Amino acid sequence: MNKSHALTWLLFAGTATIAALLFPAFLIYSQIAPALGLDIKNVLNELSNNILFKLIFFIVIGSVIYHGFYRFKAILQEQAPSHEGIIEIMMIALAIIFVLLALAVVILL
Amino acid sequence: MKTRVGYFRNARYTFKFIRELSSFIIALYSIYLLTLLYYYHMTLSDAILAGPLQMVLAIIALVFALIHSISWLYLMPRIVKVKVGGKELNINLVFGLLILIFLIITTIILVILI
Repeated sequence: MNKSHALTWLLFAGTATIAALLFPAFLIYSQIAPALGLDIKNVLNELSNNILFKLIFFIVIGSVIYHGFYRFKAILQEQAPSHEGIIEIMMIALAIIFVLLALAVVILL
Repeated sequence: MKTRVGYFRNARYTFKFIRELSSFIIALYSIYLLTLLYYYHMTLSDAILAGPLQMVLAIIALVFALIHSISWLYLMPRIVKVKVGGKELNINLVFGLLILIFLIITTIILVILI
């Protein structure tokens, strides 16, 4: 395993753990609880005014996006092994773009 | 030369496919959520964030998020062996502990925030 592969795999494992442990709670709080009576304004206020909540939101969403694209990359590579290299570059690039978009949205709010 | 993997040739591969796909589905859902938040930022209308469609999509995303969480916590002790006092812990015991930690973290977050 070369250094860049080790780094992307480490990111994969780290983001998988963050997504696994935090995303369900985040989803229940931000999307399901408001439908069951929690005022959506509370969620939006936290997201707009609480810098710690913003940071955690970005880490969770960024982790979910990076990890999802990394795993989908593996599916595509297993289906088209002859195009492994180009799939790797495209999917990691897309993951980075969407993580940066997540950062932009978090900063805007 | 590597050959194409057939995900539906047996239950183990189908489960692997669902496990891999679950992460991608919640990634797409996260991007969708970001677009809703951006829309909120532009219009300051919160109606789009809490409609019935959002509830249905959130429940679907939650199912896939739970598939991802449980399958990843199931894989973790198989990838990284946990040793206590030089003795390797049983992987099912570690999986059980990880599920317990997951439930405690989820409960604490929801109790603090709601």
